[in-house]
This record gives sequence, C-alpha cells and structure tokens, in this order.
Amino acid sequence: MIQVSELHFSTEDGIKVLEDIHLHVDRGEYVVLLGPASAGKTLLLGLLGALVPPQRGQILVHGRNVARLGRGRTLELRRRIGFLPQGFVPLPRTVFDNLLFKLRVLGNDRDDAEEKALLALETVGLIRERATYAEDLPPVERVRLGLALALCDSPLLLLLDEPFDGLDPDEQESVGSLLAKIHDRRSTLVVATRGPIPRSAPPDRVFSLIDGRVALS
Amino acid sequence: MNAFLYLERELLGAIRVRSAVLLSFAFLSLFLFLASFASLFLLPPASTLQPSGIASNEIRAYVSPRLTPAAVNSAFVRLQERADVLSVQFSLPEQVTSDRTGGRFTLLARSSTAVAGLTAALKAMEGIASVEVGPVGGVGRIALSEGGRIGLLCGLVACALLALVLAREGFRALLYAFRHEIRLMRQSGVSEGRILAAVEVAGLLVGLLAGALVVVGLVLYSMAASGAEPVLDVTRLTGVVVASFLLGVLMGGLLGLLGAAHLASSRFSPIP
Repeated sequence: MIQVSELHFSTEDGIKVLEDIHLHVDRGEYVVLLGPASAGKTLLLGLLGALVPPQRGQILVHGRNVARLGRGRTLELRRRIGFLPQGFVPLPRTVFDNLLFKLRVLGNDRDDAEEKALLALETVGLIRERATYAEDLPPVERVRLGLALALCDSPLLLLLDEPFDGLDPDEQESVGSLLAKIHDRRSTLVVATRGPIPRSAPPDRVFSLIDGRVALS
Repeated sequence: MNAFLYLERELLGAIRVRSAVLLSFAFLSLFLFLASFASLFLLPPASTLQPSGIASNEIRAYVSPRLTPAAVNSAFVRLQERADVLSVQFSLPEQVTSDRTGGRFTLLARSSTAVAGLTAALKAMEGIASVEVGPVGGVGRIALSEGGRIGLLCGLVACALLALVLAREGFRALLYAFRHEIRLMRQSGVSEGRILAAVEVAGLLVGLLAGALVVVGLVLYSMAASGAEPVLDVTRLTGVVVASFLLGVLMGGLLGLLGAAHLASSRFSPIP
C-alpha cells in the first residue's frame, strides 16, 4: 500500500525535518508512527497523503509515485485517502451536515451522500448525535466525527494525526476500540501519535520517528 | 443540484454580519461607479447647449410683432393641444431679451424624435418669424459643466477603488468564516479551480446585481424624465445600458479575483 524510500525533507531555512526515511506499509495493516512533538510526524502524513509535495526520495501510495503525479492524479489520490488532521476542528454545522458537505463537494448526489454519511456515522457511533451542532460535541465525539469524515467516502488508506490528543485515558481507549473496529474491516491505517498507544488498539507495527529518522520499534 | 452549485450555496451561506456589511458597501460603491459612468455618457456637456441657453428638446419660436393678441392666443391654444408638445409657454416682448420684439413661444417636445416634426410645424405657422432648436437627446434640462464632468470622473475613480477595497475585505471576512470548509476540501481532493471558481462567481454576482440595478435605474429614469415616453436617444441609451452592464460584470469578475487571491493564505492550508 505504501512504499517510502530515501525520503528527505528540509524547511525553507535548510533545517532537515525528515532524513532518509524508509517505510513500508502493507494493505490492511495498522501502523503507528510514534514520536515526540515536532518530530515530523504531521509532515510525513502530509507527504503520504499527497498534501505536501515531496522534495527528494520516492513515495509510492497504492502503486502511484506521489512525486510524479500530475495535478489531476494528485487530487484523485487525495480522494482515495481519508485524513484526520491534528486538532481536528469540525465545520460549524450539524454532525450530519459535516459529512454531507464533504460528500457533496466531492460530487456525490444528495441520496448517495446521505446514505454514505449515515453509514459512516453508524460506524463511529455518532448516529444519535447526527442533528447535534458539531461544535457542541465533547472532544472524544469530535474525534469520532473526524474519523467519520475521513472514512465516509470509502478510502483506501486512513491517515490519522494525533487522534488521542487531548483525550483522557478512558476516551483514548474508546477511540482505540473504534480504530480496532475499523482495522478489522481490512482498512489500512497509519496513525501518528506522541503516545501512549491505547491497549484497546494494538497496532501491527510501531515505527519510531526521532530526529527525522524512522526506526521499527 | 450539482457539486459546484452546492458549494456556491454553502459559500454564500457563510456570509456573516461583517462580510455582509462590507460586501453590501462594495455593491453600493460599484453601483455608484456604474451610475457615474452612465451619467458621463448620457448627460450632454453644458457646452453643447446653445449660447442662448436652450435646453435639450426645447424649441423657441419668435412671434412676428405684427401678430395680434388674439392670433397669439389662438396659436398658443393650438400648440398646447398638440400631442407631441410636453409644455408651452409664452413670453411677452418685454420679457424677451433678444432684439426680436414680438414675443416668444417656448416649447418642450415630448420626445427627441418629436423635435423635427414640431419645428417644421412651427416654421409653417403664420406669424412665426424664426425658430431656434435646442440639442436633441440628453436627459431633460440637466447638463454637465466642465467642472461637473471632472468631479464625476473623480467620483467614478473613487467609487471603483472603494468597491475594490471593500470587496477585498468582505471576501477576506467571508473566506475566514469558510476556512474550515476550504481546509477540508483541500484535504479531500477538491480541485483548486473549483474552490477559486466559487469565490469568483460570488464576485461576479455582486457585479451582475450592480449592473442590473443600473440598467433598471436608467430605464426608469428615461421613462420618468418625460412621462410615459422615453426622452433619451434610444440608440445612445441602449449603448450606455449595455456598456454599464458589461462593465458591472467585468468589475464583479475583478472583485471575485481579489477575493480568490486570499485563498493563497496559509490559514487555508490543508495541513494545520
């Protein structure tokens, strides 16, 4: 599913953020990128999600070289990847309308969008909160909504940036259970976190990202 | 509703008090700009009025001194009853400053197209010594002096600049309210062109509405200037109406582009 080799990335000031990254994630695998703040986890997820153009090295996602994709192909790839950003902020509308917005702007007609939205809300356990104003949701349910947004359009790959951030241990375990449930459906998951990893969601592999380098833990 | 129309509706639905006020004032400035533009082309310059000060569609008929008061009275009534005459006045010889001493009829034709026929009829009337005709077309008696024209030009430029500045700030506020949606769209693979086009169309709508309002205003004004019949030269009026509308659309497009320029800001970046 993901094959990264010799990936380097520097800031405009020349500071090396990622150095010689090699990474391989199989289809249906659940992988955690563990690292301290500012280790480059968000950047690496951005590169994998075709949200940040790579500078040096090769990134193959679903057999496509991200660096060589044209504009149209890059957008097509992004549509096949579900992304949960760090500190996810929901849209100022109801839970259901959050999902409807994403699905409608991606070209789904109303009926399809509603069907997919309901399915995603059911998966993350937010079906009863569908009419709730998203900004009124507690943090753990916001994460669930972010996950619903990431998976609502049947992505090939889920990239989740700090999904346990700002949650108490019980809530982290609850989100972990949800990730395990999503993983059981043969979804490929890459989760970036500072840790700890909830016991309810043991990953297939854990990579440590320290000082811009990746190592298998 | 397709994806683009849905996005457009959602974008316009994100208008809040601040953006609404700024965009309304931008719309007003644009309307004033277009109205000034139309006035520049429709109002005749004061220099085109004859030295004697004859206004647009006005005809002055000088009466022979030999005409009896009864004949003058009869001629007055006949003129008043004509369908192509909007108003008629008679000035006594002592009120007429020219060297012609027989008094004067001052007529206002109902429309610019009626001026020629009315002039011919007056010339054919017995006891009319001479006829003077004002400029045909233009809006009633309003004319622009040189100073007024320069003032209008300055106002036009000021309104255009104000519309651009207000629209830029209005779109900044609107896109700020829509920032989470823009981020989500970029993360999800919605094309930049579609996001940009939605903002551009919002700008075009402002221009279209301002242009349409100017068109309606011009038509109503031309009707009101002379009762039920248009007083303006139709070809000229049509030209100015079309030019104003197209200029409105063009300016709207420019406002949209200024708004879309905000999308390059890092606050809309897909990665926080």
